[in-house]
Amino acid sequence: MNKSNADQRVLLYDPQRCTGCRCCEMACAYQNFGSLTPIKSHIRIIASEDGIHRDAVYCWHCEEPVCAAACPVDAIEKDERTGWVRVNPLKCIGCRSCTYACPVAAAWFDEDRRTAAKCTFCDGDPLCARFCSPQAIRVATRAEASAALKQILGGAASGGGTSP
Amino acid sequence: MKEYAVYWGCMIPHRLPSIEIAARYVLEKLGVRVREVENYTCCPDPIIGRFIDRKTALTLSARNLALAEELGPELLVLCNGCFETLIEAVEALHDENTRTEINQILEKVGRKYQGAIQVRHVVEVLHDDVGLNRIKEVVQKPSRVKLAVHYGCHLFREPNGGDIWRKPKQFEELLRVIGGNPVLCDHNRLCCGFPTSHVDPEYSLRMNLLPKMRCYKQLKIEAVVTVCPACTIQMETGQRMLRKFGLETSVPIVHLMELMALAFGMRPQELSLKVHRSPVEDFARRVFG
Amino acid sequence: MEAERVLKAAGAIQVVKKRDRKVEAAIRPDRIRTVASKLCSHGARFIIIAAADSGLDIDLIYHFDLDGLVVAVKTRVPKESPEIDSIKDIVPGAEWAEREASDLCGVRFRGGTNEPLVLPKEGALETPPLTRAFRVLPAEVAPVAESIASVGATAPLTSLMERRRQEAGLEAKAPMVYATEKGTKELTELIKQASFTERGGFDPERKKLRGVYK
Repeated sequence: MNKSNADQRVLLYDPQRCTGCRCCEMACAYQNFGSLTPIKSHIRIIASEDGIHRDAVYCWHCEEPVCAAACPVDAIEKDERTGWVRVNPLKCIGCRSCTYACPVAAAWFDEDRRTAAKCTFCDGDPLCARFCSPQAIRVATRAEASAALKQILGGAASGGGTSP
Repeated sequence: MKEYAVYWGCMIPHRLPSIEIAARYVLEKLGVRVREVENYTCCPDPIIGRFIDRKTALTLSARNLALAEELGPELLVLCNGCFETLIEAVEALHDENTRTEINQILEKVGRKYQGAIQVRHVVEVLHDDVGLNRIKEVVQKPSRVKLAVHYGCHLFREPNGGDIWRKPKQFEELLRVIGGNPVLCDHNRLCCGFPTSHVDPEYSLRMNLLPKMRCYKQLKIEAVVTVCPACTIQMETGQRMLRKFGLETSVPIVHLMELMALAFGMRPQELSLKVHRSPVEDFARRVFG
Repeated sequence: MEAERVLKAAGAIQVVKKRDRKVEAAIRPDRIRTVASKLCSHGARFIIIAAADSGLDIDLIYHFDLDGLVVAVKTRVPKESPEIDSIKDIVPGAEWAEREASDLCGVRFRGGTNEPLVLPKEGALETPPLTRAFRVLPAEVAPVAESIASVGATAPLTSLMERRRQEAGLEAKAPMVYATEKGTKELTELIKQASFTERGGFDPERKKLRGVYK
């Protein structure tokens, strides 16, 4: 990881803090689609069957994004300056390659617009992080997030192009 | 003892006035002097307030803060929601440009927010300013019952990356001091499901309230203690709807202020507990009656 | 100079010189006939009407050419009743533009033709093709948002709870803004000043968010 990558601002989720209130999902859907339906959210909170534990599916804005590599029309691009990986809906042909390629399934297919959709990082001030009372989802540097995720995933995230 | 401006919010006076009665009694017993913020509006609601217009929401918050500012440097709030909204507004209004912009609107109705108020949750005030020892002196009837602690999401809000467990831990300590026996389990942290209750009601009951209530039933909890009127209402009305998921439960949901008032010697019939939709009145009569 | 004087005389709310050869004027929709006739009597040529859906209203921009100066006359009609007087008897050429706006954005021109022009007569679409959803806030927030904007509380105080409060020895009403007439007035003014009426679409008279309910 070079320095600019290590300094990139990404989202970091801590399941130990999450209360499962889903404010992040509502905030995201509101910001990007003007609706409060959690189905329209780029971040998704999933619950264990017994309802006690929570985890989140969200975009890591990878160093070498597989979604972008899988896209046949180059509709997904990683911004050189900020490092955010975004879908250009005008270029997207709705083939869903990115939704299958992403190892955490962060990119998803929006049935209404017939294009792929994914986290845009809200132009630098993610609403999900702002709305999270226990700060379970927050903005951190990639170096911080990487260390934290490795601890949570027990080394499962090491290696490979999509290391968080 | 310091003097505080007190902000009741709208849920407490409109839906659960028993909390207001209890809080007045508790604060008086502990010698906490309060001056009431009058002519206030809703904080506004931390969920809806964020989804309506940001400028409008901030204007309403700033107006409430301006009213409180006239009464003193510290504002005491009894509702988690009000706490988060107001503390966020204070943070946002630290920014000079934002404050000027909002003050230009407030000016039109003859108000001004100076930026000199500190918002304090009742839990912090009782724990830090009043102190556990002082509370211990006032307790007349220690409850000695098994209680579940429901913190409520907004209680975790801590400005500038502070320790989110600070206030929840203080809350537990307050319960122990008044003689309660708080049971610690993973489910305490879970949200009551109120924020999504209009957007995804089925999920909110099944994944938030159901696991909580199921656990409390298994542990034979006698009452759930909250510090938020919205959580109280959600858990009271929600637990009746859990029947469709095969759980019959009727646990009293009581606010910390009510429990403290009872422990300080207030009689249950003075508290107007019939405003609750869970058997709080029976619980109070049985334990404190 | 000439154009600005003419527009002001015809009742324009605001006249802005955008650049060297363009002037923009904002008018109330009921002034459109006056403005059009005044401009035409000064030798203006009608160019086009542009219609655009802004969510709560439909913006209509009438373009005229006055001696090489483009005069854009802006007005907006509410989507509850998207109606405006036709100017086809003043400017016959406006008829086609009106019919286009009527086709694509559903504006009704009083005294106009209102017949389809660009869309086929048969099998008309359910909604005009260039309109969008009639709201700016999600429907779920409406009840609480309306209550906050009109009484300053998440829900109004019920009479039952008022009784309960009195029984318990509390004031019947909480010391909130709605308890006094002066307070209510202040809230209404504040909501207006914060432009929640425009940005949130709050209608202070009906105490409702525009467009949320059919």
